[in-house]
Amino acid sequence: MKKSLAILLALCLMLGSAACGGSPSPDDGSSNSAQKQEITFWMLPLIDESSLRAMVDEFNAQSETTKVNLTVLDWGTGREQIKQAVASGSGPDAFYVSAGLDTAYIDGSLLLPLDKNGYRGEDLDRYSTLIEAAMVDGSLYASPIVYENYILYYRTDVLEQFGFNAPPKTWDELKTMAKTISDGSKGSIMGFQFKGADDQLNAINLTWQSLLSQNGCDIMDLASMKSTEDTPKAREVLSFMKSFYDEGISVMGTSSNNGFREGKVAMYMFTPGPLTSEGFIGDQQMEGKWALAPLPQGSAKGGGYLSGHAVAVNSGTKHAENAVEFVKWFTSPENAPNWLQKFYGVQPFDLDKLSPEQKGGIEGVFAASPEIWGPITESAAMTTPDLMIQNRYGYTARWDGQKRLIIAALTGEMTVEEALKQLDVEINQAL
Amino acid sequence: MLQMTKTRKKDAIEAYAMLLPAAILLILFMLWPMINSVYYGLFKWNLVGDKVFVGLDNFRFMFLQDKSFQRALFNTVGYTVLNMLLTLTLSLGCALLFEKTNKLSVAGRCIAFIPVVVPITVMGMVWKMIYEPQFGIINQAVSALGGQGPQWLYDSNIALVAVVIFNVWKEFGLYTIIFIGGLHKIPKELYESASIDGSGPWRTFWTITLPMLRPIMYFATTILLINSFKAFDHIWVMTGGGPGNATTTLVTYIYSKVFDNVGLASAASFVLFAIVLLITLIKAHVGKDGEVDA
Repeated sequence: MKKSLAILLALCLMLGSAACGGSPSPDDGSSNSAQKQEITFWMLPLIDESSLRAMVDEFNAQSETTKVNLTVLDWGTGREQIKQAVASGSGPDAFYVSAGLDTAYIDGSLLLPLDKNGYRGEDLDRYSTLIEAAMVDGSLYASPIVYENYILYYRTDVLEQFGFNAPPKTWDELKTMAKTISDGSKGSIMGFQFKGADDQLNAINLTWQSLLSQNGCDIMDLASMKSTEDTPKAREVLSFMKSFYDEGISVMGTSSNNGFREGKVAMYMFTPGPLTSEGFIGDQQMEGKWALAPLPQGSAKGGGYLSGHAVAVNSGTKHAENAVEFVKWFTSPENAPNWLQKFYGVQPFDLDKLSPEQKGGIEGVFAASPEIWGPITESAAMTTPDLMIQNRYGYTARWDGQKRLIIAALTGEMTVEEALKQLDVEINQAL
Repeated sequence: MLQMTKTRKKDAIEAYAMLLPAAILLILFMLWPMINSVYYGLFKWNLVGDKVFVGLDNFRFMFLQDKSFQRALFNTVGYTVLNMLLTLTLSLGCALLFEKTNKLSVAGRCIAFIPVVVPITVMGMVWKMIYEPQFGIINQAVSALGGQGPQWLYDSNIALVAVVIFNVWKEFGLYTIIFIGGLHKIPKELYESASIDGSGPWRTFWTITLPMLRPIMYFATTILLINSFKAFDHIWVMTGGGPGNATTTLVTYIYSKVFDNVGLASAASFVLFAIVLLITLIKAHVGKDGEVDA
């Protein structure tokens, strides 16, 4: 009897520890200073923390009414921390959200509609069409900072070595060139790597959706609210990806970023992130040996993956006016050059609707590095907010499922059909 | 007589009063979350919106539709069996090797125990680098010998084995020390008698050492079983449950679902609890005589 009790107790301890979850410490941001209203702002490190702090300090210096207290969270857990804190009523006044929004925020009425709280018609008009991704039923729920799209990185030296003087323009060309390089180098250089098949982290989500977009696929049927990852066109995409591994063109696990830097990976597709995070720009050993290009085209000539970073205001804030004042400033066209100088992304405005000064500031950044900004803006011009909007529904389940099941298909753990079917099963369960 | 009853009553009250703080903590942080997890298992809830009562749908989904859960279940059992087998074999072997009190044995024990004291997540990161297919030292060594190493954590067929190898390396030192303690408790006279009767080392091991280690073995296997079933941190650090679902265990499954559907994660927690409870009860019944002085 005693023994059974002891065992039961040990198991209670185990299950209890599994059931307990952490939560961020509450912070209502309501402490008042003598002159200004203090608000809290939780942000993810879209650019380095010191630059974020510098921007917030600049706002604090110029605002007569508001003082912002910034907390920078990490990418790994920050989104969930924010979501849980906001949902529990202890979240910050303003916070980072994905520019495509997360339906959990909308369903829980956790975001303040900005168009009814300080954003006027002319503020909304100056955005590009991608702003739709931050809107629900005509209301704006987040103010975008910058979008991220996909581009092709290629080693000019390796391509030249194998007789290619231009990057691939289509998927067929991409595969042919990659195979030539992988086979010709006897595997010492990988012709192409799918980002995310290397570290098997979130990047596979971006790569997968990029290829889906290029092949004209949708991931949600918004009428029936069912996930549509398993379609004949999506199977084509996954089979195309798998063929690289089956035919020995690519090898799982080899790092795209490291391999590219060392000339061991000739081409890969990814966001512009590595330009700064991996230090490709300014790397003297790589100088003159690489370039960027718009994505090789699939059957639908879509622009590829698009996501975005935005800031929203907590619907439960007691200081909506102050929070909106800050968010508007933080994401303003005047600040856009600040972001673009540190983050090679897609700016959210329709340049023709900005003032000459605002437009000039952004175009000045583009003019400084046309070889970088050319491919980014060319790819961006083909993107639509469709997948970003569809991504809202079942977002967490989709990203977790895609990360596991696309890789499972690539490694042969599951067939293409099984993986995509299971993906829909998991996402639909969460919807 | 009345005085004696009063004293016993007072002792009992004192004893319960002393147990109370621990009991409150246990109820608040263990028992209550456990009961909650069973309750939440009947709901669909993403932590943000309203909870929707779905009855046994979460359980039905896991067992009948969710191939990822089924794979997690399979992996958990595979991980547990392999981990227990390798850890017990290696630690018992090392215990026999290092049970003497000479300097070499003491040094051996220290070396075996070092991995136990290093944080598992730190070592998980280090081993992730060791396993790296291109630049990791294992494949570099294989490559230097003219061979080609496997993809380790990126190969669905061997990733689970690679994770188990790491865990065995990390934990075997602890069990080695436990077994050495057990070996030291075996009366030397038994070995002397066996030796006089002409018993060789192999026969002595099977007929004296192993049976006499039964209480310790019972303790070690119980702890190892529970630790194997709840393995999480190193798996999450090294593979995140991948590639695909290749190293997804019940606990990594629970973790990955908790942000999306607390109900599903809670239901999976209950399944884990039920499995471990069942196995431990069976084990307790079968190994009834084993717990004597463990």
